Amino acid sequence: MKRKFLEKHNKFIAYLLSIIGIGGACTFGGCEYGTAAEYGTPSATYKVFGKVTSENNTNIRSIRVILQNDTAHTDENGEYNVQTTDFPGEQDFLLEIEDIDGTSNGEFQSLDTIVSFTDPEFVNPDGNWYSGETSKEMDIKLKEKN
Amino acid sequence: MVSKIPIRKKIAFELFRKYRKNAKILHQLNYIFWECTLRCNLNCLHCGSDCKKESSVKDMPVEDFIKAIDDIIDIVEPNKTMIVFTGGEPLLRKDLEHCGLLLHKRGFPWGIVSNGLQLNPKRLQSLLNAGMRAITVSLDGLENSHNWLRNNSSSFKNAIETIHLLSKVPDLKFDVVTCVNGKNFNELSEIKELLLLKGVKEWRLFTIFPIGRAMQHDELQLSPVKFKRFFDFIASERKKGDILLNYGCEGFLGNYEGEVRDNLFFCRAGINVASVLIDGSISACPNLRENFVQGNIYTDSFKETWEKRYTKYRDRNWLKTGECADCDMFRYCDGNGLHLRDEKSGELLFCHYNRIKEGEKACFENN
Repeated sequence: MKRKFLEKHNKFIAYLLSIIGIGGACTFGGCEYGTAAEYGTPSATYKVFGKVTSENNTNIRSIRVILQNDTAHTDENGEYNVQTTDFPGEQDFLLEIEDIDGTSNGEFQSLDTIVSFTDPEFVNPDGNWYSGETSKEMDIKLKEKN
Repeated sequence: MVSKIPIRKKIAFELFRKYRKNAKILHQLNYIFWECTLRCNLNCLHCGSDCKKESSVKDMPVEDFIKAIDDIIDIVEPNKTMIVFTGGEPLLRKDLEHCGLLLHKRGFPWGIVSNGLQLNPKRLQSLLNAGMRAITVSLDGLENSHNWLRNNSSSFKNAIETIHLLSKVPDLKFDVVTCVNGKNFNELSEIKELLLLKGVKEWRLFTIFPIGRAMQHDELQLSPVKFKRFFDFIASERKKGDILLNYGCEGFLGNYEGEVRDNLFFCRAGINVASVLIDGSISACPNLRENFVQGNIYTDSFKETWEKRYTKYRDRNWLKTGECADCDMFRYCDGNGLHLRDEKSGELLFCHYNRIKEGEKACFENN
């Protein structure tokens, strides 16, 4: 509580200083023999999309797909979209596919697979440290549980 | 006059005093140095003013540093916490990229301070691929004065090549640092033109203090008159706006505050800045050693050290002795930069404000 108050107080002081013409007073330009501070990290968005079908090519709905911190469920057409943010460059991500709705829609075996982004091309960068987004289609076939 | 503070600035100083007080209570860590090596490929005349270099000291393993970072990760906001590899010459380490990627995975931006001697396009790309966000390169004069200070006949050529290389990288936070001394003082305008020609957008200037090895070279110091004229130069060049020029963080400058750098003077050592030194010592800026060390990552928790120690950094009333005891400006300067204090006695070794006053007095007498 006290911490929040002090943080807000300091923001207010920085605002007052900017009004009297010393706008950068509270900035931290780096330290002696250090680099200028540059916060944030380079990043890019990696999108994975596709269709989950059974071995006889039937679309499967309600299949859970996990890519790092993003979770999606396939729609009526078995389609899914997930995305994650990571360092721009070649990346391998684990894609976790699991049937979690029991027998209502047929029962399928879980599948863990790797999505590889090799030499990815990024679009819509912000001109700064965000390299943009790249996407990859990944269709999945699930085996029925015996 | 450096001591005549206009009312607008006085109000700013008073507000900033309150800001500083709050920041000390908050002591939000957001800038960490890692002294990753003491090896160096140069033998600069002014080195040793900041650290006691012993090439026999082994580099700290990356894993030991990362372990310390993992210890503090829940008291910082990683993407708002800059980690800076310093030395020695950090580029002599071949595993910087490995460390950089580990930091990136944890969300930390990182940068290096380098003499540029070891940087080539391939290594630069490798560092950028590992998430390097910022780099500072030293250029301490035109060819003769730079090579003299750096004690190396090809140092200038290499530094210029590195600067040229870095200025072409579009998104890199890159600046050039110049340690201003008696030899390069008259070259400042030419250095600026050279930097502009090479595409440099940010330039930081420091002065050298009679500490350590720098004590043995009188020519490294600026006379009081030159010291004052130095700040006049910065103030005047900043108005032109063709390069982002700042004086370093190092001292309170009276009425020059607000004129020669973007921010007001605030020694953030131990308040926002910590360091892990080559032997594991936990300190603030890397040039704060001996009695300024607060713990060691091999025996103490970095997190607990940051949260529970650093008293002498956060309560600076103990600095109000000697020439600071009766100084009206103490309420604004807090005893100047801590690195300008004797590591054992705490005595102030250099006061910017008084040195500028001396320069003003000498100018007045000469006229």
